[in-house]
Amino acid sequence: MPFDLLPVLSWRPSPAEVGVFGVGILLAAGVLGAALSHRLLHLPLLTGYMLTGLLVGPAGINLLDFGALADLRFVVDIALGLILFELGRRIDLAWLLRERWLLATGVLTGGAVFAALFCGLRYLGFDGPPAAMVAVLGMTTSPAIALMLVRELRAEGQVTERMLHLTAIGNALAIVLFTIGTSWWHLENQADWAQWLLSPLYRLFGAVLLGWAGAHVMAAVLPYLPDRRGLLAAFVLAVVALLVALGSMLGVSSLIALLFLGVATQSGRARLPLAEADIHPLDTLLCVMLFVYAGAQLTLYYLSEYWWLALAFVALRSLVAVTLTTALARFNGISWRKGACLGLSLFPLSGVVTIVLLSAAGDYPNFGPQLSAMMVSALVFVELLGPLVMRRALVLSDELPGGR
Amino acid sequence: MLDFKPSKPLTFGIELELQIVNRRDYNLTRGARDLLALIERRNKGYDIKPEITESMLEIASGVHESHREMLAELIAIRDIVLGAADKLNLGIGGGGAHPFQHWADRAIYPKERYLLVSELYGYLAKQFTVYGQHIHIGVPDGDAAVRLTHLLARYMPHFIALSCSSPFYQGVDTLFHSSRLTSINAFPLSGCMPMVASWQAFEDYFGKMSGYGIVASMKDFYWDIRPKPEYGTVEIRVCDTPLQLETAVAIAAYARTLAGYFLAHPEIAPHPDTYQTYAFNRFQACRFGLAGTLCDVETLARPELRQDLLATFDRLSETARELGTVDALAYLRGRAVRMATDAAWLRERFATSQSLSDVVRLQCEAWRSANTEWVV
Repeated sequence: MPFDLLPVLSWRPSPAEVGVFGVGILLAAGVLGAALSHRLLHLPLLTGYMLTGLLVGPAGINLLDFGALADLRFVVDIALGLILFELGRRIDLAWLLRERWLLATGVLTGGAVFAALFCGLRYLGFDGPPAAMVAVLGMTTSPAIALMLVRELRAEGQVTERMLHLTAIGNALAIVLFTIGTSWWHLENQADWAQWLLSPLYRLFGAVLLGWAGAHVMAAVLPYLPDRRGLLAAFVLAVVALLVALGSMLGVSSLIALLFLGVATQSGRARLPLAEADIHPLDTLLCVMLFVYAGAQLTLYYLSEYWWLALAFVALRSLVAVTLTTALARFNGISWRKGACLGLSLFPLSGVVTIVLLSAAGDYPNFGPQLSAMMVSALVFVELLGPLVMRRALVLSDELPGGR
Repeated sequence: MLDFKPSKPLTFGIELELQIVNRRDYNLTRGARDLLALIERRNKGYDIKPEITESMLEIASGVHESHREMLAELIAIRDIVLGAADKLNLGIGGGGAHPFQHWADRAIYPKERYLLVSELYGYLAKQFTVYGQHIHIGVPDGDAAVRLTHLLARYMPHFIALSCSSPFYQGVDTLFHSSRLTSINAFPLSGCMPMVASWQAFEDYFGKMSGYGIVASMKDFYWDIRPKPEYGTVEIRVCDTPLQLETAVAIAAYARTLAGYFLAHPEIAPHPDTYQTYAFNRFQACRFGLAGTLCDVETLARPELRQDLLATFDRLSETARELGTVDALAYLRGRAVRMATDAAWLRERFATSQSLSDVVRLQCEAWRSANTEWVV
């Protein structure tokens, strides 16, 4: 405990005090990180949050230890829920259906990344099932980094839009495959095919149904709210928190539920007149905590031994993505250069989605010590470098406001 | 010095500046370069180019003698633009100004002239993200251009009221029908051509101004109407981009008919006080649209703008028959009689939805759809 550092104090803090202290540390570290990264190093704010997170977390001075992080998990769940909701709202379903090449690019890129990672891991001698699950995790792009960085940089253009859509597609695919995969894994030894089939179906379709219901409740209530922007944000947060909790209680995928809630409130009959600016103050606050938390979760312990494997994992993933999006650039109506930038922008793998997926899998699959160590080492690279690489991709694609 | 290149009288062409918006909240977006890059791959020689900020696209017709052919060409251009915009999920709309964009968010298109203009004019350049229709009418020589410029000046309020489509600006209802023209007033070389009597006199004036180092080319004059010596035309620049192509083409046909009338009646001379009342009449049209009150220097009467417009249509009926523009004038008359302007249409949409995003969405739909009132 951090309080062991101060032996002068004889009292033991109550759990409530520890919780408040944790929130305070998350926010303070975030603000400090933002200030340092921005003023001194011109890093994206997100990188600053994560760096200070790493500093105060278990891998650093341990001001936030594993217990404190576990207690603060609810903040992360809500923050990630809100991010997925907002990502869903950035998704234009009509466009995806019309612009088939974008959908195809998402599916093909995800599939190719999966195949390459799977083959690579098999080649290195890892078992099939855990290699497949890790390859699935490699398909995700961090929705939080994607969304928050686009906002921070005020990026606009085809790479930005397509990157956000590919992020949503990649995460949705990964969540679906992961859900099917874990269910398959758990029930592998049982002959109950009905359950093998029903369990993932329930987790996924139940989530869609939950998101759909949430959207209609929102649409029904919203007209009765007084026209106060702050109130609207509170209402959104309420629905997000309730859906995260309900999803968890009902055993359906909260991530899918929130993503679908966003999509359903943006297009379709439950369309809500919400502007991004309405939710801004909330997600700034939650994102500071989310990224500090993500930074604190990083583990440097295995780096010395596994850095090469982690780097190979990250490099292969990006290489395949860049190759695919470049090859498909003309079909997407963009230049080769923008196509390559698009692939590069998918670099930040999602650490938080990984955590949530793993914990949602119940007594989740044991990847074996080597694969787990490689994953946590890879996360160090992709999370810390993620915002920088994505910013580079957006700069190269000329989609930032710039000094012109 | 300023050679006036003669052109076939009463040929005409138009340029239209269009809004590029996202389809999420329908705010302006920096889409011009992506859009133009894609259009370039599909374009069959049509004139589609960038404008000063990255949320603008300019399309232009060729030189025509028939407004029906002009409409057909512009529809083909519209289809190309919309095809590319659909692929990139961008919205394209008419309208003289975006209702709720913030001017400071705009980015200057990276082309040398625009960067120079931006350097020179500072924030005015970004505030210049407004969308107009320019009409070119061919004239035989420079003297005819000068005469026609003066004669058409009296009718500019008609063009403003027929095309007005910028009632909202920076998120508020301006109470104007065309708020766009106000942002042009800020430029030091806006306004009107001085009351010169001949092309020679105009050349002298231009020579003086360039001698002072104030202008380098005709492009530096941001006048409402100006001779365009390199095209051999008179250019009308007061119109907002209407919400639909049909309206734009009909207004151009009206300009052509007016010009035809004046070329056929060489005895009509511009009134020396034309520009004394110009600013007042222009304001009336911008503020009140068809319901504005004009001051007529010829008769000293104070007609309602719409009455003056309808009377002008009556006077042009003979010329319209000769030039084949009867249907276009009838279409504009029908709208005027019902007081139907694009500005009024936009206000009605806002009254229903209370959402300016929704208004822009409908603006984009209007731009895409064929106009059913248009009878050819």
